[in-house]
Amino acid sequence: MTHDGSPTSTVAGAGLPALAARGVSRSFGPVQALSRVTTELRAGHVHAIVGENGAGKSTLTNILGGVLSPDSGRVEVDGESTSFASPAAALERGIAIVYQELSLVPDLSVVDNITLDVQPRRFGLIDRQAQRDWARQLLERVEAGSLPLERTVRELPVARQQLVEVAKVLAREPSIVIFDEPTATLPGDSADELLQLIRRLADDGMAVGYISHRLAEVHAIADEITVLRDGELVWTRRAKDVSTGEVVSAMVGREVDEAFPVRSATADPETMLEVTGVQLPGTEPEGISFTCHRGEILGVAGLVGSGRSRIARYLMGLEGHHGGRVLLDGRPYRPSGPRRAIRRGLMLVPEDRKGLGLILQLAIERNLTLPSLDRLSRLGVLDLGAERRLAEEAASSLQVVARDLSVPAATLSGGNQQKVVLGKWLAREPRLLILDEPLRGIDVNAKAEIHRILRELADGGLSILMISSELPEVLGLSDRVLVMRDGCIAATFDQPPFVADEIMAFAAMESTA
Amino acid sequence: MSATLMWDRTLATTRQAAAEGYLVWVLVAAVSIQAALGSEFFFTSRNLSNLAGQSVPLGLTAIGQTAMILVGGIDLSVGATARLTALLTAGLIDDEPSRVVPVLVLVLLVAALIGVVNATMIVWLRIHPLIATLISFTVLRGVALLYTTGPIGGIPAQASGLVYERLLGVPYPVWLLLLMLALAGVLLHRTRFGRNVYAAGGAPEVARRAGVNVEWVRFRMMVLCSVMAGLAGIVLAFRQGVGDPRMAEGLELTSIVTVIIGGVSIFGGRGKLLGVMGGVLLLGVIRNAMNLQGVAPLLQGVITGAIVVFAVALFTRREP
Repeated sequence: MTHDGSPTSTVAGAGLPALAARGVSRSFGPVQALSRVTTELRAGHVHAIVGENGAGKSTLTNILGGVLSPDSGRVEVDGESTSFASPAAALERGIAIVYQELSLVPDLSVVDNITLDVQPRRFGLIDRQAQRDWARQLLERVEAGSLPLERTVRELPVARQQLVEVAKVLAREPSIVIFDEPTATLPGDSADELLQLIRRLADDGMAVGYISHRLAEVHAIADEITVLRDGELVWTRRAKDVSTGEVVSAMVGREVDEAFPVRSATADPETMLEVTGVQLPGTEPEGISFTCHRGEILGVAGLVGSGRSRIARYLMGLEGHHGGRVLLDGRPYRPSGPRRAIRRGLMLVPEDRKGLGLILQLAIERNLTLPSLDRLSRLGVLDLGAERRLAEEAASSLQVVARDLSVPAATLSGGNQQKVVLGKWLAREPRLLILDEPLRGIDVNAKAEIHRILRELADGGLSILMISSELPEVLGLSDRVLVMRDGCIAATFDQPPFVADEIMAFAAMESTA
Repeated sequence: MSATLMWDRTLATTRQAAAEGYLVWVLVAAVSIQAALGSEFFFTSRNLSNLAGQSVPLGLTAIGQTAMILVGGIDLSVGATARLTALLTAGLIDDEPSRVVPVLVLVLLVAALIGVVNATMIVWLRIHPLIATLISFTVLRGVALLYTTGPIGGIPAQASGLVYERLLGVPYPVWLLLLMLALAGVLLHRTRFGRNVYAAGGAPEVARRAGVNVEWVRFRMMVLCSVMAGLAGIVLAFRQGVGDPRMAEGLELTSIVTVIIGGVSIFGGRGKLLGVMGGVLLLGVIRNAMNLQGVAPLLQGVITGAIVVFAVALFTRREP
């Protein structure tokens, strides 16, 4: 078997692969997104495809799923060379993709979403009973048989939506399914459930492609691992033959230091933020009380729905509350909206980078200066020179990699977009910065870099409230850790080293039945 | 490279040029050449200044419509607003020179009031812009008919003569349009307000979290839209010399069309006035060429409509 000159050693497997890319290349304008990549998915196997942002994972997925056509090379189904005109044509051949951005219609019911593409009919009308039975059957396959069929998808938590999505894909009876970062938006326990489901699909004989950033997961479920870097295949190997460290260094092309940056200064004992007895609606009346010191990174851990994001929203004045008292920098502060918060130096890097952090179609420089316009103008007229300088400063201090600051923010990779969000707030000189999931969907290199930046900022006197569902991040970077559960503080840890098990114990106590 | 791929890429490049607001100028040039070949009268200074003058009401309205669409709205009432202000201008001045200035001030205030009502419905009562301005359109049309069903009032000759007088070879109304363009350009690209407009129109929630008073930004742009339509009405009245209830018909559609052809995103937050002015000229040149080549007036609407369908299909921004 030839590999079209690709520098690879493919894992030998029995029989023909269910789906294969052979020497596939694709460019977008001057950018070579994929060059001569060969990879094979086999029935009964989970094949993980990993790589940093921009490594070509999505391009490969899209070529396999018939969304894009390759410039050269070919796609084979059951050993037969094929070219798909469209995703529908790929589906005909039994290939389905579960995308990170769910393809569900939020205002349709669970049953209607699952059977959206293939509706059972009788006399030209939808056979409602058959539709329901079938949807129920599919949900049972994804172990979500108890989901209410008539509930609209919008009302379900993301983790449940993801299962509906999988059920919808199974309705097409595919023999090959590619999951594109399915766990990126899921909390740990839901992610585990999904992983088990994926493993089971493979064990039932399906060929599964699995794309992810989370290497621990990849090791847990994959049979083979393919690493892509800069559009090229690095290697494909059996999962049990490689260590996570090897995968990481293959992804980044060098050994990465996974250690977290060490704090150089001890935190100022001075209190920056003091929250006393604030009760979020629908939670226990004991309320939330905590303090954050100057120059400290205060980690906030907790499961999804524990109230960790609501704290951030509350402080910005985006969430209702009962009673309580907040002292910010020694003076009383009553949250009433982002404008007041910003004026007091309190800023939020939101969880949803694309929806709430950036204006994607706007130039990078416009995004960077948006919160600072009042400082860049006199009587409403902008000082264009100062505006440009501020944008350039912000971009260079965070090492944003962009062709030009005048291109839309949408053209940046995830890591760089996150740097722009961070940069736009740093340019406004915050005194207390709240980060909600600072590293969601960001690759290993960018992660380490942002960690270093955050530590430097804290050393420089900035107080940081870091909300994260990635426990290693909370453990490694925080000076102190708050654990939230059911809208209240379940525990506070004042001294490193923090122990993951202890934190999880407080986060998960009783509430997870 | 396959033929379909080449076609795809050509189309993508064309759309890009359309979105940037350049392509429309290429079309203006192309249509002008056709017009010049069809009639030797086209490239005379008399015809060109006539063409420019005719384009002023649409140009002014299009500036307003751009303001509206940039902040995620759309205004179906600009035509009715322009008509009512035109009728009021002619009817209240009624050939009396001393009333010109106070009436102009009053009429612009009326236009601003219409804008305040529209903006209140859209921004504070959260009625969809299409519905809100369709209501205004209907009400204003009714008010205009209550006011008069036939020609009304008059503009004194000294005043209406201004419409055809020139400074440096350019008619006064065209100067007015250029001045408004310059002001709008400064507002959009040189002020904090302008930056906030693009932010509020592009992603209101992001803008709000960055401290922008999104509602207030949108409100002011919507009032601006009606004031520009009012200005267009005044120019119409001065051009005609009398108030005519058929004036400004179809201005809502033509103004929206020019904005789209100009490459402005119908979803708000993106687009430049340069392209919009190209759209205004394009429609002006097409109409002028048809007049010169003796196309029957009733047929003109049909032809313009056909051209506009193609232009809009080509120019409508595809969202990423």
